[in-house]
Amino acid sequence: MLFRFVERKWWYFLLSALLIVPGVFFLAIGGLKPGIEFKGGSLLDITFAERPSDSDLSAFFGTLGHSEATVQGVAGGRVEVRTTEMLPEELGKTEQALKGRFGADTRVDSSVVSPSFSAELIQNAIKSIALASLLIVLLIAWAFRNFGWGAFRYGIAAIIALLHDAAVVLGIFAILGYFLKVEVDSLFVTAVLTIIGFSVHDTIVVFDRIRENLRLNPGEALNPVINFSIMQTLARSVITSLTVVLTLLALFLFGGFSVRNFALALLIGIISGTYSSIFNASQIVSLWQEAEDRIRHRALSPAT
Amino acid sequence: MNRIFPWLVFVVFVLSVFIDIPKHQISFPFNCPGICLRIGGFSVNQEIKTHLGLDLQGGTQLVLQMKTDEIPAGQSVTDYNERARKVIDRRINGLGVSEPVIQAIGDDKILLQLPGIDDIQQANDIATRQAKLEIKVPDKENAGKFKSLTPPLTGEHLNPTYVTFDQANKPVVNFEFTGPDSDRWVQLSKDNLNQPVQITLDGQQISAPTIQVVFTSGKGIIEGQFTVESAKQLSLLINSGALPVSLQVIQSSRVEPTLGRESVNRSLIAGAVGLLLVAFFMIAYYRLPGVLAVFALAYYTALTYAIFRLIPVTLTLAGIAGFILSIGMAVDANVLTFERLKEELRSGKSLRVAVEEGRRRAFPSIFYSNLATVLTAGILFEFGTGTVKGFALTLGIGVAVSFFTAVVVTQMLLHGAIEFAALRRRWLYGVEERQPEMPRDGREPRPVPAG
Repeated sequence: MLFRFVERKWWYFLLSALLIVPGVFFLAIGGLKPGIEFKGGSLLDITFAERPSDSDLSAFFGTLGHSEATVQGVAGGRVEVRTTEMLPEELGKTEQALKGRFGADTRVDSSVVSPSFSAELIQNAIKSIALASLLIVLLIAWAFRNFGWGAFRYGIAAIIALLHDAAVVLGIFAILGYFLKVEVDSLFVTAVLTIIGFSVHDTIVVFDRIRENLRLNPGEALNPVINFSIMQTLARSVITSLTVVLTLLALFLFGGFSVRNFALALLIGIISGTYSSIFNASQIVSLWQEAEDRIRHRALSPAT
Repeated sequence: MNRIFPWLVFVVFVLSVFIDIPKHQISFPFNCPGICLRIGGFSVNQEIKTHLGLDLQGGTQLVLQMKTDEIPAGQSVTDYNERARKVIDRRINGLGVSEPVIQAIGDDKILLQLPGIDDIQQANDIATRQAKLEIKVPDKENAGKFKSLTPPLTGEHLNPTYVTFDQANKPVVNFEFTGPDSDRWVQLSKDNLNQPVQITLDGQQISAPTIQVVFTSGKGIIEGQFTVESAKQLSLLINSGALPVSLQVIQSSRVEPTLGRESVNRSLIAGAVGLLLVAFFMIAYYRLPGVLAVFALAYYTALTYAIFRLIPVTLTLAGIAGFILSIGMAVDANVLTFERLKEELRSGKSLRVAVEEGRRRAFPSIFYSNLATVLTAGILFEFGTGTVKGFALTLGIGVAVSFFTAVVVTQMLLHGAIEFAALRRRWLYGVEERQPEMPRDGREPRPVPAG
């Protein structure tokens, strides 16, 4: 039995579009909420008579509408809490609330802090990814060099799959940011980079199988070979992703609060990466081939 | 070669585990933490410890106050603050401290958190040394004294400086003026031939060499009573540029991890649980090869961690993400090999042939996918900053090592295992004992012809 991976490609593209289009919409209307690291904010230096646990303190700031607050202990029993910028009025209220909850001798010093994370970092990362993508196209084209110029379509398809996965994660976080005020931090940047790495890796494995099967079956049409290759690598794709998903799921469910969004971004990205390597990447190559065949056919038909 | 190789792999493992064990000493003939050896001219002096980043371990925190009265009237304090932060950022980057936090507090204060720096004195030095290099010439009216040129010839327009050794094998710092300052430097050598000039840093004399020839370029050297370390630090300070304004440390303290201690502990446990699940899964699904893969992964983890400790790599959560991704890829390389092994076995090949074919056929996939990842990591490391750099470093090292373990170590273990008759049962490899005939569907292409 053969699963028709290629023939149903438009359905798979549609599913991807259903995920990506709303995400891109929310990205465009500014859904991705930059975290304190990017924006700066307020730094509260709090001295407690008796220091509460970090999770109590985080939960407390959550009830004040600052679930983004990060808690960091400083030697000498002090605690630094970073939040998005608070106006003087809100600061006063927060201080009162802290005193009410943790004792009247709680002391709060507040100051405004600049972003700790430069826009340069993001720009550099994007430039690096663009450069890396170019190299990946060349690398894959090199692996497929026996196919002449046709080799480049594999590289480009891999990059489209990569963009797909990045778009899915960015989009979902834009939606989460818009509705649930989920913010993105430096770890999110790392997560996106990880996803990109994984995506290319996954795609290359499928493409390598296509390459091998094309070599062993000269003259065979592309589409059946793609179907068969995806089938052969399916177990591997699912198992590898499953092992990574297991680790991430453990991190998401049992890990600390501050790494949860990180684990979530990775989970979404890895699942998307597996999907795109099975249902999108090779289908793009097939689409390219079909388009080329049609053009060639049209070019030939008047003559014959 | 084939006899020695497994032993070599084994020795690497033993060494890695040894390096991984916290707090031990191999010191000969003197005592120091880590590995210190001196045998004849050969000496190693390497402190071994795991460097954890600010997010996981905390670090040293300094609050710096700008001396605002030094800022000319009408200039923006915020502007000076930003420039000072950039200089500090460059210095810290040059030191190889990964992922510091540098933030402005209000207009005139700077918050600095340095992971893994235990020496508060060094931290203070890096943050507050103004590093203003100036060349002064003899004062004609005041014998034995030096005076500034007008305008002062400072280290503002220099090519990056570097350290070399002079004839006496003492470290010196090389500098080169650029632009108009280069011409001024040449002119200065004409005006003061056979006289001493003074090289000062933050108003203190470092050296006062006598000019013996007329210079032809903007080049010069700074001599002084340097050790290699202090020469390098001076070079770094000059290269990072001078602080636009003096800074004063008004507070220094230890800080806890930015992610929160509880969060870090819980996440570590979660990570361990995740890895155990992966190990169980691999064994349950792949049986004997799964067990071998778990060994290979243990080998992989020991070796990578040893490399992290040796280089040393500062581990942050982003770095660990890179590490986990590389573990994923190490698992993948094993999965690819084992899936191929199963395919070959099912197509009726003998175990020995199947193991060899599995390796040969899985190799290109592993090679190209790992190469793509290493390339990406290399580019991110080269052009990235902060978090991104840390991530790229661990990912790059991790994938390189995982390529070695998956291709070499797993294969070695597989080849070793099939030498034992008891380990040759097909069931152990996840394939049915008696191979059934597998008629193929007529429409199906036959990409892998048997034989």
